[in-house]
Amino acid sequence: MLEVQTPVLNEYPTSEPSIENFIIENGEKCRYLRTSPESSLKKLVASGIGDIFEVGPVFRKEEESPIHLNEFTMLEWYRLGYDHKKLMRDVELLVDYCGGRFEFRRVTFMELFLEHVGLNPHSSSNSELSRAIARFGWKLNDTEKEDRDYLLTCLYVAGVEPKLKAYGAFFLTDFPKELRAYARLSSDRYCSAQRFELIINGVEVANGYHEVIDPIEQQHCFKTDNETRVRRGLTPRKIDEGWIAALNRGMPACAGVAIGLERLQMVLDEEIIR
Amino acid sequence: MTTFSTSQFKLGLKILIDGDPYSIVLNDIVKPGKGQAFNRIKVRNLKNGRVIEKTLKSGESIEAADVMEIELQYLYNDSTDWFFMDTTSFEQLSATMASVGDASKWLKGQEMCNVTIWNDVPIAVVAPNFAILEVTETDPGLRGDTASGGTKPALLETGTSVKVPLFIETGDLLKIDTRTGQYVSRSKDT
Repeated sequence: MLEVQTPVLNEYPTSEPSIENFIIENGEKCRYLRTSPESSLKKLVASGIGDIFEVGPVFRKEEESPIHLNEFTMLEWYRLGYDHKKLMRDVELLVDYCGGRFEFRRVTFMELFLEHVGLNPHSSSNSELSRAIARFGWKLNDTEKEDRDYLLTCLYVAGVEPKLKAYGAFFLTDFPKELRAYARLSSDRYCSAQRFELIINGVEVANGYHEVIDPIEQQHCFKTDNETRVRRGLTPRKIDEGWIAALNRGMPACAGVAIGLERLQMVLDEEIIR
Repeated sequence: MTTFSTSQFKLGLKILIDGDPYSIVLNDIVKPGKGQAFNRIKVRNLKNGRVIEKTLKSGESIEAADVMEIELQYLYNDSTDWFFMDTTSFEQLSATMASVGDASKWLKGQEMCNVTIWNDVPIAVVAPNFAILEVTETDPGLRGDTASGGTKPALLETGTSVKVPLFIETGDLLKIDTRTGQYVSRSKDT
């Protein structure tokens, strides 16, 4: 596997609707501190470079907390011919290698929701989700009641996340399609997303996908992201056409994952980052 | 109306939830995966001390509670209202029995108390950490028994009963830790 180094200062902001870049102004131009090396690494993978990884700083403009630093170190890698399931084994080996002694379980998004919210996250209607949120004492406006991604996130935060410590180390899998980000969808009846998160003692440590490689599907994801932003009263992002062009040249089937290294260190040490 | 955004949250901030004043005792950020950020806070109800958890969408605002803590001197009570005085302005404030709460067990007059004021009304009273109170009734003392470790009830001048060592006599002045309600020692103070 080849180690690469890609630019920290980028021409395009992230396309993820709920992540914000630090913006660097240079005369008329704006440059964006990367929130992850994803777009650069995918362009390299599409160019035929093979398996790659990068370790480097990433930046997120958000409120800081003991587990949310504005600058942190990300390890991200891509494996050609892997799917998300095979990549999870890779992540297990890495955490073992770093000294973690965990029994890694696999828990689906649906299992967590049925257990702690009492609803199927794939098939429940928006109004069922909204009513469940109301039972947690939260008030929603009319726009939020139709924002399925938001409704699922609210229920996750209110009902599921507080229970996660008890699960030890596990991979959260089979995300609802609204939370697919850039993962492929399965052909199961819920079209669940081939995305996983590694959660250790309640802390999210890694996020991985069986990657979307179809340029039309990727463009659709970007469009959905911007629609989400507009619905939430945020400005839409300019799309990185180079990403789509790279997929058009022919992206090999692959899976990719990113690990927050400070968080991994933290859960290994069972300490707080600073 | 003053409001605080979640980004202004810090420990000790006084906010209004469902019409009651609360103080923030814990402020956590929760930001699942690719989702939005939320603030999960633990807040203590300033009227009854109960701690509850609440989660807010980051960026949301919450109304400030006009709460302050001041030192006031306890004067007297007429069994429904308890009267306190600001020793610099000589202004008097009355507090209900409910807001004086457990502090009532230890107050006989003159003590400087920490009083929580919300919208100009006292809602909580904390007695000084130690009170010196006279025993008005207890079984006769076993003179010299300072070692057996046995205890007996003693009624104090405020009407409160505490457990005391066997050698304590009616008329003794006792030092009591008001935070635990426990006997500390006999007192030479008057």
